[in-house]
This record gives sequence, C-alpha cells and structure tokens, in this order.
Amino acid sequence: MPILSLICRIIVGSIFLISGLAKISDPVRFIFTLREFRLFPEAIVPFTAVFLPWLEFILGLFILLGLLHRTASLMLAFLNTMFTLAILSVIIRGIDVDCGCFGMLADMLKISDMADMKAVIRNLLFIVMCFYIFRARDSILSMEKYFKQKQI
Amino acid sequence: MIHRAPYTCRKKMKKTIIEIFLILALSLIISLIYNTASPTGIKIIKKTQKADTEIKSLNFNADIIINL
Repeated sequence: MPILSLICRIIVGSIFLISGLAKISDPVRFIFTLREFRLFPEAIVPFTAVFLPWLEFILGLFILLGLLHRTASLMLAFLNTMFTLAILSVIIRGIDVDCGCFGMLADMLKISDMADMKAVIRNLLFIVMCFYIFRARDSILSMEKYFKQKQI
Repeated sequence: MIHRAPYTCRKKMKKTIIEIFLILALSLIISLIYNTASPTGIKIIKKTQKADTEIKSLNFNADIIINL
C-alpha cells in the first residue's frame, strides 16, 4: 500500500531528522553519552559523535523526501539494530545510562530518554517500519518517482 | 556447481551498494565540513578534554575540602 509506505516514511524520516539535528546541535553531550555506554574505544568516540548524527540526519531527510529511500531505509534498519544491541548490552551489564537518542530535545520536551526496554521496543518498531519502506515497491510523493517521470 | 544470482538481481545489489557508499560519503563530507566551519565543531576534542580536566580538578578540590 503506497499510503502506508508514505505514513511510515513521514514517521521514521521526521523522527530521525529531528533526533539527528538535536545531536548535531550538542555534540559534546553526545560524546559523554557514548563514553557512558563503554562500547567504543576512546580514540574513535569523538569521530563517532560527529559522524553518526549527520548520518542519521541525512538518512531521515532522504526517507522523508523519497530520495534513495529504499537504500536509506535499509541503512536505517541496520543502524537501529546496532542501537538496539547497544542498549541491550547496557541493560544486561546493569549500567544506568541516558540513551542519548534525542539529545537535548529530551530535556526540552521533558520526555524520558533512558536506555531501557521501552527504548528497545521503540527501536524494534522503527526497524519494522524501515523494512516495510524497503519492501514497498511503490511510494507516493517521492522525489525518486518524480525524477523517473520527468525522464520519461 | 556455483549458483549465481540472476543478472537483474546482481544489478540491483550493485546499485544498492553504490547508493550505500554514496550516502556514507555524503554524511562524512558534510560532518567534516560542518566541524571545521562551525564554532562548536572542531573544538569537540579539546572541549571534552577541558571538561575532563575541570571534573578532575573539582573532585580534587572536593577531596581537599573533605580532608580539611
């Protein structure tokens, strides 16, 4: 169903666009969050904190605009799987940590941003949505479709 | 006998891999440009190191106060 694909694209795209922007605006906070996870070597933490929010932002933007959205959704599903595994490892190790999913936006909107089972379920939902976007052959209001029509 | 995927499937896979590298390269370039251009960007490492030093000195000061 193209309309369902569009709804999934709007939800996933806008959420990752906003969360990427929130992390881009406060990279130092994201560095501290990554350190608290104790998963990355110290040498690559600053690079990851700089690169990851931009990747999220661009993937969100591409999905929202419908530009290379199938590949972007596949990449976002992989990224979400990695996030889920990271959160699960933190839960198993018993580390009480902020998940850093929405950066400073969580403070502004006063929403819970902890690395708990709620975050895992939310991520799993995003993964399902990403796979739906990837599987859907046709999607309305996409730039890719517009460019194809223009070529013909 | 080696089974090979059909031509169209291989072509699609190749296209997807190229697109993945394109997106990764784009985000890498933008993040590097942003970090060299923005006032908050390039100083990330220095800032965190400074913050670490400040936290350490605060702890040190707290220890001194406790000992007193």
